[in-house]
Amino acid sequence: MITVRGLSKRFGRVAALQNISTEIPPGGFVVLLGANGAGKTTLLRCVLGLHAYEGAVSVGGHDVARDGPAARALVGYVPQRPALPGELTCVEVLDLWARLRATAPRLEWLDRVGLTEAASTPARALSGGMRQRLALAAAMQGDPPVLLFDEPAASLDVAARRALHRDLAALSAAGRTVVLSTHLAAEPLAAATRALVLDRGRLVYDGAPSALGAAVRQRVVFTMNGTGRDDLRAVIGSRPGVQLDESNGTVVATTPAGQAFELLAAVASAGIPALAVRVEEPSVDPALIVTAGGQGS
Amino acid sequence: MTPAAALARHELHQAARGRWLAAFAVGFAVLALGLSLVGLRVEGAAGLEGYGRTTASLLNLSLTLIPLVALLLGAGGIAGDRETGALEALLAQPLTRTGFLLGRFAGQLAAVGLATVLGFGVAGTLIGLAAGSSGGAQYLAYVAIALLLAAAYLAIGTVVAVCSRARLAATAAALSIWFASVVLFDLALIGLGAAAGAGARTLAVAMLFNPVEIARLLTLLVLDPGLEMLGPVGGLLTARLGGAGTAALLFAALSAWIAGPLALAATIFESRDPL
Repeated sequence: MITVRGLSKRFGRVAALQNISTEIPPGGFVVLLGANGAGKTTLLRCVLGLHAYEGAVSVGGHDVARDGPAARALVGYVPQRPALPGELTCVEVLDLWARLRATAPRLEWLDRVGLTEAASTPARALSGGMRQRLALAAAMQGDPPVLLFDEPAASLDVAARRALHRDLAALSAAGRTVVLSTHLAAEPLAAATRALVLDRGRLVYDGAPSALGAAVRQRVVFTMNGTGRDDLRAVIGSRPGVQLDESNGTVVATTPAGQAFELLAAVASAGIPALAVRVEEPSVDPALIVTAGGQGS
Repeated sequence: MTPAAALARHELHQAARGRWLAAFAVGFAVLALGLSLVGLRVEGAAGLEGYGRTTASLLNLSLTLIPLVALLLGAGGIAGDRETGALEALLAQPLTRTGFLLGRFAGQLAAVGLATVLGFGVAGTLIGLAAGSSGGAQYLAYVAIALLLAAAYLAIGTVVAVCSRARLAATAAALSIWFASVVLFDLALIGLGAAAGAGARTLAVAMLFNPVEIARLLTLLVLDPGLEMLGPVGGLLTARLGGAGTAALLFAALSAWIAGPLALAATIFESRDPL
């Protein structure tokens, strides 16, 4: 469905993407992982023809550089910052997006994203999560077979994020090709059928999410006032695969994904007093990727 | 409906929702009626002045205001969309970049055109009812020239928009162009004539570089093709080309000021990363 061959993109002297090649067949749920600045947004924008690039990109057989409108007709896109016209109501937004795709509006999407009661509310009056859902409903106008999401969960709370990821998995299960760009690797990875990992513009992994293994890491940040710091070091040091970092007032334990709460339980049972504990979302550490099971580039 | 037409429709709706369209229309209507009444008071008559004098009175005002409104509208839209992120969402839709530009241009022109026609239309109807229809055709021609002038400055504003990264920079550039067109250009022509001793032929060629001057001469030609109103440049042109030939030349020049900047804007927009 999406073919990328030798894709490179430079912004002045900065190489944003370097010789990316991948093939995404129809269907499936692809997670595009990488830290901020890894090139995820640039890659999606190249697929949409919003950036000029070297190499070749096609969607559904349509070359994006030569026949952009035909390629974009197959793609629904939810950008990181969905800038929908604020003075339009939800219904009017869907009507506009449908007209831009020369189709009749599919207002049932308001119901499917839980915005029926907000149908007459101007987009600017919606919360961040509601705007995100409206953007999803807008992207579904014209019933595109490919959906691209650029960090859609960045401004959402945990519950809204989980609901969104469930929606994306359902869309994929219904036969659409879903590409989700994110720097968070927890829930999307569980539902995804494939993972692509970008690191400083290079595709360093292209394969099954399960094979990412120990490269998916999670940080637990303890804020300490000095008391119990040695005990905390001892507990962290006793756990295999857990990395310890310290700075003024904080102790950071980086654990393999899924082990953060086991560490927390061990710290609690040792009676170590922390002023605050923050468990961050899991993310992929490109340096830890083992290419077996995927394709390093 | 094509995507570009949908965009044009959206642009017009946006303008209609904002209050500027109504304010612009009411402002023009009030000015047209007011100038007509003031003109009569000066002459000691009663009632509304006819079309011809009202048009002449309105000319300088509209040659000042229409370029300003059109430039600000044309320059601000895309640059503002780039800032808010709306440009990315819209360009991700199945239309070409040129289609996007033309859709925006058509919608903005429809908005300015609607405001102009409404404003002048209301005033024109009242003048016609009170003072008769004499000069009505000239008045309509004047409104049409005003629309062409609006289109030319919208097109120039579109060039500014595609070259600007931020709305503030686009607005500053638009104001600079307006100032150069409406104020500096006249001074430059005077300087060219007085200090450099440029003849009517040189001034005529120079005049074609400014849509405001083209529109001014075209309107004067429509109002009164006599040498007294047209001045030396108009006189030279009508002597060489005749009235119809001069009007055709000026019309072609004004049209070129629409098509040229639009083509330039489309070329720039297609060749650069738009975001």
